[in-house]
Amino acid sequence: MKEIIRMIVVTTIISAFSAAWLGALNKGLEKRIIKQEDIYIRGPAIKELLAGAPNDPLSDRIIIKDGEKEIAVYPWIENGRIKRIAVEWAGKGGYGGDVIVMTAVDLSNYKITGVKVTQHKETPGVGTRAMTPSYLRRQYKGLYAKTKIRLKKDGGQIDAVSGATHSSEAIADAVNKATKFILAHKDEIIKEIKRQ
Amino acid sequence: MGALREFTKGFSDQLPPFRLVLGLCPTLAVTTSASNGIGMGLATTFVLTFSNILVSLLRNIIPAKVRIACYIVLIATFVVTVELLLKAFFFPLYQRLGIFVALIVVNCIILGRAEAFASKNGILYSTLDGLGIGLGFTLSLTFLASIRELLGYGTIFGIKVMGQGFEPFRFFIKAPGAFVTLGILLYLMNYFRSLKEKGKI
Amino acid sequence: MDYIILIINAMLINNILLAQYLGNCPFLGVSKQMDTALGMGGAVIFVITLASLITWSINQWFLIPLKLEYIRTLVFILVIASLVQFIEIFMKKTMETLYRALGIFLPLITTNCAVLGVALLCVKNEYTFNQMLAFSVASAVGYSFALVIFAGIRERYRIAEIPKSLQDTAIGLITAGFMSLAFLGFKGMVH
Repeated sequence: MKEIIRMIVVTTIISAFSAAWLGALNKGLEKRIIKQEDIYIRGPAIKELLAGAPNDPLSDRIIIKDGEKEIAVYPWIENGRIKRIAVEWAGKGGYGGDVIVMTAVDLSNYKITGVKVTQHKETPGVGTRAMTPSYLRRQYKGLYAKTKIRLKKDGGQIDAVSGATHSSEAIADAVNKATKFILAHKDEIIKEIKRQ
Repeated sequence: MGALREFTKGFSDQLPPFRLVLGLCPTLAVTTSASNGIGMGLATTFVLTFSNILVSLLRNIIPAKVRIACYIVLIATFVVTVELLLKAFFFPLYQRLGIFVALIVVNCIILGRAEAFASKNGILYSTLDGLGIGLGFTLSLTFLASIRELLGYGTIFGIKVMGQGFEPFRFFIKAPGAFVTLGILLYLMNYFRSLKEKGKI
Repeated sequence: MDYIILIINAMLINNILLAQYLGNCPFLGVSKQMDTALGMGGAVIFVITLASLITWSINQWFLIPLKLEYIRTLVFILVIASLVQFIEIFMKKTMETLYRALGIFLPLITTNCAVLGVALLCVKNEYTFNQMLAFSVASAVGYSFALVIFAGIRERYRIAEIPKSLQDTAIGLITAGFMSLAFLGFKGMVH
């Protein structure tokens, strides 16, 4: 009996110390890790979409709550005014799963200024043809954030890439969700950015 | 054995994965570039050394029947530690190593050393054992990775080494290349060892 | 239709052993004879499926809601180790014949990176429940498939004259390399 108690006590104590140590380490490194993810995963996309911004959109990012989720908004701030913002969203319907897209919107006229895919599991050479900068620029740049974006075959504005319909749909879905979010929270976003 | 011997054995007769045939999965998976090899090797060394230290420290407290479970908890703790540290300070390396960082926890080298050595030896020797075998492993990984990178990309650590006319063999970067290269290296090591034993070298 | 592609992918194209480098240690140790390979293969299919099921569920309903993803590795390996223990005890008591065939392989499977690897891949690829099941079973079957072929080849080596330095692991690795090359041919199956 004593043996069993000893086994349980020792194992529990070791596990407790382990949990405590890891919890503390995670808490301590959390902010830094998020920053690293920003730099390496979202950074390249932000640099491209908000190229020319005098501020650093990554460090000036703000968090807006959308229901349960926390959404990061990356702003382009020039002369005290917010020129553009970029928001990342996951679009459903991709061939290999969600396609994560960064959408940039001009806040003076609410037009889409750029779209870039940051994470995806689409087929290289097939689905990825719907992600090239030139294709995305041609299809999305200049569209109004208010319009619901659809593929031409569904009566919309986007030419899907043949053979990459799923990928094209997922990207459109992601952009729609991003613009919907931006329009729904635009006052909150502006207020929060000005606050920083 | 003297302290120095404990450290150096990881580079000679207990060199993983050639002499100490363990830890093959990461060896094959991660050695597509020399910098990945070093990164993985050092991460493994970190986990191996600290887990050896803790197993040795607690060796008289942990009851025999639950020792494997406890070792696993300790090893996994250090693996998660290294995961967090990599994510915070070496993010690109973490992205390139992928799930193989997490898989350090089932690297048979670590559980093997905990069971075979650290549970029966003092802290100093266990530390040296961990460091030695870990660094030996790092050396092997880097060596294998350098060969694969050289033949597969024409570079070492990202620096172009081969001349203009060199046509890289992508074969070495892909899975078959990994198996074959390691197999040939192992063959050569065995061969030179047998020559040495017969006194021909 | 997507499931068929998922299954073929997991079993052949991205064979977890020959293309994703998972499960190599037992591969080179256990596969010298057909019957041990079959035994290991069977045990692997059983354990991987159960392990993926349980770890996926824990991740989905416990780790993610509580934002504890960072200790996933620790939780997963403990689950796998405990699972293997339970399976062993359960098998010993209820399925004697099966235990005698597969039982010795079970402790080995705990440190088989294929088990933890497949569990982590299910999470990394963000599979749904059904996808996770299909993927795990297919991966495990692919692994066993490769294992059995390998054992068949290696049994032949016993009668071949192989230089001492090449024996066992070295020739095993080179053979695995050629098998891997053969499996690469499957890449053309799914466009």
